[in-house]
Amino acid sequence: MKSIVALALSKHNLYDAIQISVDQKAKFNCEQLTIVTYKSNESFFATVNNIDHIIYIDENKIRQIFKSPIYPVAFAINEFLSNLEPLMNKEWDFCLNIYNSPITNYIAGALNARNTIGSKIDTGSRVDDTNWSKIESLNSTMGQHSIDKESIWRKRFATQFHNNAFKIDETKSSLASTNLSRIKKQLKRSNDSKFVGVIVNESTTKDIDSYAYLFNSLFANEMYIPLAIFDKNNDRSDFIDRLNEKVRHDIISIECTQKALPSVIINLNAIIAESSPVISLANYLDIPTIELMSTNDDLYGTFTRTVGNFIICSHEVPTNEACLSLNQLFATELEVEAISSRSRIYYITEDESYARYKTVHGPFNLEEQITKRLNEYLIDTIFSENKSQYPFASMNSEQSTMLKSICEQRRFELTGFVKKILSCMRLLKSASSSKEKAMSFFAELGELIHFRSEDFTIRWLAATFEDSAQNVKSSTFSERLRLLEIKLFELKDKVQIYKDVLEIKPRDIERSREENIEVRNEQTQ
Amino acid sequence: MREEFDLQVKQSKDDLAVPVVNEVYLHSMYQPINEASAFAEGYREQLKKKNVVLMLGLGFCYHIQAIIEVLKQYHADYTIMVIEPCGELYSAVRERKLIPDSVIVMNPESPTELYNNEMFVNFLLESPLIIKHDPSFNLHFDYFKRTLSYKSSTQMKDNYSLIKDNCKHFFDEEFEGSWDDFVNTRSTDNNNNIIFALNELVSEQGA
Repeated sequence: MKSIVALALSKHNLYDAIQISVDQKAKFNCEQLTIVTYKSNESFFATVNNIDHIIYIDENKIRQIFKSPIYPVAFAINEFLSNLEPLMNKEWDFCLNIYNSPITNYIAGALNARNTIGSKIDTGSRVDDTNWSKIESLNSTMGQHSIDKESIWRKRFATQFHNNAFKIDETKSSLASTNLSRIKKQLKRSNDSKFVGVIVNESTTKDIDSYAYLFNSLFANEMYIPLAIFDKNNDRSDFIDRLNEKVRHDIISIECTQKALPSVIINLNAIIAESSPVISLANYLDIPTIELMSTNDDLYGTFTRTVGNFIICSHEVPTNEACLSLNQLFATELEVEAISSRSRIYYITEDESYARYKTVHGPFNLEEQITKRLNEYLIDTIFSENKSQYPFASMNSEQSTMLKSICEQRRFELTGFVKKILSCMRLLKSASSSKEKAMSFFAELGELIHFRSEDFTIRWLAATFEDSAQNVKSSTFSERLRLLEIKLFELKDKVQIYKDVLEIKPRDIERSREENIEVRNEQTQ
Repeated sequence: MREEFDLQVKQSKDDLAVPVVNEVYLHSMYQPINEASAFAEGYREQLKKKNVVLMLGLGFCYHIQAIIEVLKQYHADYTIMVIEPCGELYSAVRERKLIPDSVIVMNPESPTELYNNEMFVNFLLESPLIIKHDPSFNLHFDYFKRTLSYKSSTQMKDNYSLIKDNCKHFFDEEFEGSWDDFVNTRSTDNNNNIIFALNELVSEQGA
């Protein structure tokens, strides 16, 4: 019986982790899926399908014992090791490390698994299963230069998300359906009218006047019935009361538990919510979403997962933008007044390799878009087996100028990196002659590995080089130097490909790649 | 060494047994049950909100019985733990079968013995309402003061005996130093990954 254990501790992307785990279970034909998570996430698992065991780590208890001076640390140790006992006493076919966090990397390294999907710590060093795991860890520090999480997950887990992880309680769902039909009748709305759930949760931060405006706008149109949905355990009734004072009708609110949430959501036609996990849950249940992000958020933090949904970046509750998005979703004609020129609306599409965030309104950030495409292309060109199309084949002059400017900046940053590689190669030649020279070489190698750059690709090249350099193990010093020299040459080759891309010589790159593939094919034959 | 106490039992005016420890009367000599009811009444508002109680002082349980009566009005379930330093009193209460069901009595020799008891630690993690039985508290003032301001040893060798047997192989009985010292001296051997994982967990900010 094939078994898979998924490490999914953090609450932040837990719905994603559940969905990915269930998908990976099916992908690898495993009969048993065990999930390891924090005890505080227990309520998330009340409504899941296809998960066979759940192991909880009582993180709050462990931290509380550990941090309080009155309790012996031994009890925190006992608790942690007891929690993990069922995990350690078993041989697993697969360990799925979803978040690649420091703690899950250590747990993945401690357990007995034939295959690890994600990262793990092996004799003190981080080992990534693919370059995409490495990219994800770098990504979180790269802000707007990062590649979106959705695309990385598609690459890392090589899977399409399916609606098979979340259980709908038929009784609760049919009760919700009956209640909603009754509301429709009471309001004398047509059968075609749409229920739009507006999620009011602990992360609801935008001002109440804007929410009132949103409710009024939706309610004024025959086609929409807005509902305020809030978590029973997170009392937001004060917010609803204050909202009620400001709207022209009684707000219809639904108070539901975490357990009932999927059964309620499945009966709605759309969800509007500030960035929170409920967005991804709705997406996995095939319910359209409009995610409200702050303009300060970068798209890396989005919870929107599937194509056909909208993300609005704005400081206020973007009522007009939400109405515009609803018009596009349902081909309706909600009145849309002035839209803030500073807010942006993205529509999610996809191509063969990546999720795409198409700007449908608002200032188009050309630099961000080109940077993202360039990063993706560079990664595919340098590391991926899958050939990707050169993304800048047809550009107008503005785009071309921007691309040139970005490439120029990157070439400038690359110069310093190349100098460091060459310096390492030079010092390596004499490293075996004395202890001082060996130390100079390793000091320079350290600087190369931790090369500071704003450039995503350079940081990434340095980080992947670090992995390969750490894996160089040899019984003799001279052999170790020889192997490190090979690694440095490999890095130099990758940098050369990078330089070719930055020189904007797509035909050369394509030709070079085709030649490489031909050579590889010949060798295989 | 456990401190010895002089225990006598006297009869109240309404003919109930009243313990006298080192010449200190632990309950009213007139109507101990009425006194206990008035005592519990003073905690009614807090007991409405909290069903976990740590009582400092056992006496002959009149006050505990009164607290239970209040708790029952608001909660289907409740837990009471009592700390009593006097061994002689604890024996007398057990002999007389005065301890109500579902009440746990701890009679440790010292605060260290108390805090080295995992059941007590798990109980404290539930953030109980702490109620002191004043005559007992004043009688054992130093003991309770040390209990309430207790700090556990941070030395790993003092913790070794408390670690479960099947987990002991990760640790060194003689190790001199704190948890941080211990982690810093571990090799990067994969067998230590679980220790590093725990260290990451307790170092993480928030959940």
